Amino acid sequence: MKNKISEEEIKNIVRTFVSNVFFFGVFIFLIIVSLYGVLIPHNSPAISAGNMQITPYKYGLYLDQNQRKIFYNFSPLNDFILNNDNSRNNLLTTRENYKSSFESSYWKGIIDSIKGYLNPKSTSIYFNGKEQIMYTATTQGNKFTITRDVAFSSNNNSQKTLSMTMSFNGDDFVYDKSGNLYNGFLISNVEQFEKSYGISLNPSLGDLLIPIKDNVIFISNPNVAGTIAIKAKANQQLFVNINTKLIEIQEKISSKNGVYETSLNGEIFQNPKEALSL
Amino acid sequence: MILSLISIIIMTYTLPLLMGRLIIKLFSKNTISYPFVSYFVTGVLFLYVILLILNSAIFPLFPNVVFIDAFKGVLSLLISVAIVGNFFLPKKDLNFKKYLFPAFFSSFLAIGIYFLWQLHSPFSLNWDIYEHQTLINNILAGRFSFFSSQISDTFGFNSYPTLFHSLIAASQAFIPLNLTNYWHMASLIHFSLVIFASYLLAKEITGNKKIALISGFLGGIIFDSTVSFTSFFLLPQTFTAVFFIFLFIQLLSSIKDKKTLPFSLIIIGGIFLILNHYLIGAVAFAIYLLTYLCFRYRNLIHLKVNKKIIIAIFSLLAILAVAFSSKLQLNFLNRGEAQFFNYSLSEKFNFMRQSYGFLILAFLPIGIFSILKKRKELEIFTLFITLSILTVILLQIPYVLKFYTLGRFFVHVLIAIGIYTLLKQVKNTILYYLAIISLVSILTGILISNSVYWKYYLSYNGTFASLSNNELQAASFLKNQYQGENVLLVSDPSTQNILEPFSLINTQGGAYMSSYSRSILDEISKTNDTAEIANKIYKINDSLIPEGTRLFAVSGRYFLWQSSSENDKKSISYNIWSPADLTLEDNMLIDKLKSDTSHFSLVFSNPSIAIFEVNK
Repeated sequence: MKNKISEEEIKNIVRTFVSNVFFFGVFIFLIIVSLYGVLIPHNSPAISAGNMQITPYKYGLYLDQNQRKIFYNFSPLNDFILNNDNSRNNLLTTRENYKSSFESSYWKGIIDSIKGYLNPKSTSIYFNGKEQIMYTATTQGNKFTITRDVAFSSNNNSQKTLSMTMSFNGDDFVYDKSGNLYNGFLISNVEQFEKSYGISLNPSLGDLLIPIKDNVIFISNPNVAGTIAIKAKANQQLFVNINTKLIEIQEKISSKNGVYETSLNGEIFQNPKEALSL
Repeated sequence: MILSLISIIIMTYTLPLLMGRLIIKLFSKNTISYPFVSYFVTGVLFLYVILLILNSAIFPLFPNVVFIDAFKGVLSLLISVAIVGNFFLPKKDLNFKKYLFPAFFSSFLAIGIYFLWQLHSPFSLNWDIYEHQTLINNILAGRFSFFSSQISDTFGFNSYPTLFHSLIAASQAFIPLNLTNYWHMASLIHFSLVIFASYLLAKEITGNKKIALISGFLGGIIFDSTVSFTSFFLLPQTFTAVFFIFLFIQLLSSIKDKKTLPFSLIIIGGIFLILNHYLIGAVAFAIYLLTYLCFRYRNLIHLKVNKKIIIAIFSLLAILAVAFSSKLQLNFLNRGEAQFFNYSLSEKFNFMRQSYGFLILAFLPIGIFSILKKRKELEIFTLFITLSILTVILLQIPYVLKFYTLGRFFVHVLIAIGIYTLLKQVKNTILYYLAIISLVSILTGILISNSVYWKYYLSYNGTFASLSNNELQAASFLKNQYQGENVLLVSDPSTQNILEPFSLINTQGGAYMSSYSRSILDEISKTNDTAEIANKIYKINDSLIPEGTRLFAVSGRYFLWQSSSENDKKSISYNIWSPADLTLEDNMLIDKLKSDTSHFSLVFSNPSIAIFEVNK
């Protein structure tokens, strides 16, 4: 009799346990499915730097100002390794097979979107192709840093000269602290610029790849309310490439645990006059 | 913020409550369920009637009387009478104990969730408050009328009279308040009432406190972020919806207690609803009245009506209506604005996803199944109301999504029943609380995703905003310099919408600029001749208020609007929703205007906006 009772009790316990777990499982499944149904915007998660923002996109990160549709890209399609013979190999090409974390998974998009809302200080994107490349943008006030980590598929221990780049546009004013203007030569715009900001610009024509000696370059667009300043570190060399429309930061880097890390520092100012205070 | 909170609580909510209690107690000794609802609606109507009498009978006889002085005087008298009168009334009906827990629950939940919604957003994200504030400003300046279109040309279509605005004006009449803080506080109080109503509705329908808690939580954590905007945005339609639910709760409670609510209170409630918003109020009153009649004559219905046939006919009509509603051509309504509020089924599905994810699809069927299984009368009736409203919302005709402001309360009760049906099967304490924590976390995730999606185009200087400090600074300048003078401010619709309520300076139509004025503004963008620009600015006139000096505001928003397509410029529903600073290109035109000193005189500038006085 005693054994029969305890057998029944055991059956009840098991039945209750299975029922609890089953309904718990169904409940959790349904609420997770509920979350999966939300919509996420394409430019998520964007982070602010001053009056501009940095957002992941298919080929990297871009810097822009809301509503203006003028973009400044950070992309492995533009970044390159400088070989000993001065030839360049882009870190990524569209011809190769690669996977990017951009819109790779809807779940990841939802999680990133939520994280970005609660802590909008960093955003990132990675690429898995011939090389593994990750870009992380962090911001503090009007300052931003783009950090790039590269793990090469081979020859991961030698020192390399790598370049990080930011694209600019045909109508951008690109100038240095001394007022040498390297891009944006439309006369009416230059006159207006000088009149509005009291800064004299001297068109500097000639070379296509221009080293910037004081390691600071400014980019202003007539249709964007703000000026971008890119400042190279002491161990970096700053160039303006007129041909490819890129700001290049070159650096000799040794790897740490097989990863080559470099970063690009920038600051967003309300206008060119404020930017010159840098 | 505290001043605004106190003003709103006293003048917008407490004064009508006390006045209404005095009036009802004078005429009736009966006890009624949820008496505060009847007190409030009666008090509000009484105040509005007083204002209408003042405006139509007293002021014409005494034209030297300043409206605002009379308004403040009447309010002061009424609040004194209300306090003294209530002091002497018996206190039997003031049973606050049963409201204490839901009130605290609603308030604390509202504060937490509102903070989450407003994260990185210093100003209210409710775009409509600017036009409503403009109307309120006009009322306080003495331009009062029953018809909003007779007060300001921002309101070309009389969707509602000025009852809501008069109530808000009462709390702004006495002391100058920071308007941005004011609307935060007003929205927060409204939000608390939404959660409170959601809780009480579920409690009355199901009698289950846990379902009520879930429904209250859903009422707070879900933001219907397209067209209806119930929880976070205080608007005539959402104000109407909340008080409809309170009236409905009162009616349900009377039905359950087998006490007939006096028909006079039903009519007063109906008038209140319709006078807050014609469309939403009328539908709300129809539901309210139908519920009253159904339960009052339920025996007759049981005897005479074959319910199965009714259900079959109703279902067939619903399917036919949804299938063929797209054939109706109603896009001409409200100066053509209606076309932008006519959404396809797939668009509505995406709106549902934006606010709920798949929550409705996951739990509503379980809620419906549970109701049909239990066959409780009130729950079945709630199901009928919910399905009716959802059917209307699925119709492809303009503005139907607005009815979701009424429907969401019932939908949430059904979802809450669905959630509870599953949860109560989890008898293990650890798993049960794990389920609750997961539910709260996931629903919070849904709200955050909704917030991200809703706000992403409002990015400005590290915040999400539809207003900037630069614009407030410009408005403050205009107010100090030109208040009381005969001036008309001209700019793009969005800049007008923002500057008018804070500067007290008139514009032509605010965000609802007429198509004629839009075409003139468009022509301005096509000419470099500053004399011609000045002449065109003087062609823009306000239809209600005689024009005077023109002020021309060129802002970052203005230039973005000018660079938009012709169709966008003509559209009432297209706006530059977030602030924008001036660029170098923008400054080229500003410098051009500055150089023409005979026509343009720069009176104000900052990084976002430049304002000129314009001479013909």
